[in-house]
Amino acid sequence: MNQTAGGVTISGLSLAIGGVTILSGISFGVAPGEILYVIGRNGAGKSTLFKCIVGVARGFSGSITISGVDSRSLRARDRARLVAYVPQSSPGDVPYTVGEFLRMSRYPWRGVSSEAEDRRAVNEAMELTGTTELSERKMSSLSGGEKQKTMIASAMAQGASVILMDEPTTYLDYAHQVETMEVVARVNEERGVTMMIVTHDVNLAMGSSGVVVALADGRLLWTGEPRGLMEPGRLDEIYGVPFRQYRSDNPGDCPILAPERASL
Amino acid sequence: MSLRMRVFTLFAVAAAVVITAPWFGVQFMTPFDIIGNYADPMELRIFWQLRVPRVILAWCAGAVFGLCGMVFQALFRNPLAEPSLLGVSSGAAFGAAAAIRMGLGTGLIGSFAIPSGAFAGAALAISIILAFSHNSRSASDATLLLAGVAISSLFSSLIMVFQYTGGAVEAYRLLSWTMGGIRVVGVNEGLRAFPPLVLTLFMSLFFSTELDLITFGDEIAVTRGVELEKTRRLLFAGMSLSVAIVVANCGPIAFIGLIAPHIARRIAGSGHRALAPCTAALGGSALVVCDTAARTLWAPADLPVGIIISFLGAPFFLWLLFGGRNN
Repeated sequence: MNQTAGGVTISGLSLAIGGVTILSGISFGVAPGEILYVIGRNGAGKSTLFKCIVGVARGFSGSITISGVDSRSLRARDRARLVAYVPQSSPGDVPYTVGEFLRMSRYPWRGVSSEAEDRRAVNEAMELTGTTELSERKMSSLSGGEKQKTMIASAMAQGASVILMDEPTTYLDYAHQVETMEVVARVNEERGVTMMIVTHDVNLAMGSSGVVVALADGRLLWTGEPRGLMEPGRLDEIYGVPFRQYRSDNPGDCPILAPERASL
Repeated sequence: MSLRMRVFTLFAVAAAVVITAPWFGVQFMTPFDIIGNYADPMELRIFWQLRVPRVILAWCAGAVFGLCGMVFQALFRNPLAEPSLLGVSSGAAFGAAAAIRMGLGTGLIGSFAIPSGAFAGAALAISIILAFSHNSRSASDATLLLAGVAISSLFSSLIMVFQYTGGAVEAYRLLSWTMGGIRVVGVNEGLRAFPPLVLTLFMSLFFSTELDLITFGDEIAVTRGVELEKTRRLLFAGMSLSVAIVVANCGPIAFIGLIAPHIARRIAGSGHRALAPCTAALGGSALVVCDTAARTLWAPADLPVGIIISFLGAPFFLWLLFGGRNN
């Protein structure tokens, strides 16, 4: 299906750990250069899905094809050239500088790319993510927002055409959420990098031109364009609570979706 | 001071230690004692057959303990991991003691059986630790060390059984050996820790980027392309083998694996490519200095160097435990 670089095809993906089914028969595809949002309740299998794709979780059945290559046949290094990962919790007290970390991210290309190429990839990643001035800082001294930008820069420097991010904005304040998503959009638009993002922020998906995949209990519940989330009952089903749409006075604006609360 | 200067200074000090140490001993020697026509053949022999081999063995052994500590700290992501605190050294000591107790401790058989027994013991200790830390993913600093304490006392008690049930001579041999001592006669014996040094240094440098990435956690390491299981297995096997050979020759000397990498980090930073040679230089020099002290402080008595190391290392360990590592 997606034979070009940056496409991801998941078909019939299932995973059970210790007899408990975590993922069951999931199939969907991501076109090269697309942004895909994965939503769903806690425990729906979103993070596990990502771990299967990036090679952290193993023992799944079904197939995962990244840039036209069957993921199972790949060595860790070769997989790392195709797909990069920004985990939910970034590493805590690591005694390295941002620059050292970004240079390490070139690991999958060791022996293949020249030192000049490595340096260029790192510098470009720092420029695009606005982390150039952090390069001499220790990782342990970074704020949450700076750390998240560094993790994105690291994924970029890795040179993969697909980046998976697990809840990139969850621990950030509003200003840093906006900044982080701007960085994500820049990497996607300027480099054509395919982005797959786990999020609990449905409005983030609403405001973008991407695709949404909703999981529930390890199954694919629904997939479609973001505006499909506005269909009556859709979000209620995904999250198990009644949702409302709050429209702004400006008819061109996208409505805000939020759960109904007892008192607002 | 720049990194280059600091590393250069460290290596200069290490070289100075190696060059000056052989002159110290029961009797202080000067180059005039062994050079020229008036050199005393007895002193020549003492210098070249006893003191120089002993300095070489101590240096290589200290470097191996230091490097193993450095690698364990990265693999377990625990700043206090170290061959002796994890029980690997006492596992090796148990294996070696078992070989001695079974009467395989002498001659040509002994030079093969003791290190083999030590390797089996070290591998057993590592397997217990790994099985344990694999089952509880969230094993904290403290739990890992407590498991090490448990494994250590298990093997120590078995060694004591050997000591208690053995003959007097054998018991004394075992006792002084488990205290950790460097006793050699001849150049060949002096070079016994050289192959493990080559192995540990080569592996640390070869896997330096992998060790850096593993510090960031399994997920980062795997998704940046590290073959985690394979790398881990190779490193554990190489380090256990090296520790085993060194323990078989020098006894289970503690704390060098803790002290050397920690001081080296302050000099060379955390990147393992620069850290590994600095750790080796520091570990080697530290053990040579302590061993020189061991054979001069109470001369003509030759104190087991393990006693001196433990005396100095225990306060260092406490200091690390209570906040000294947050620099």
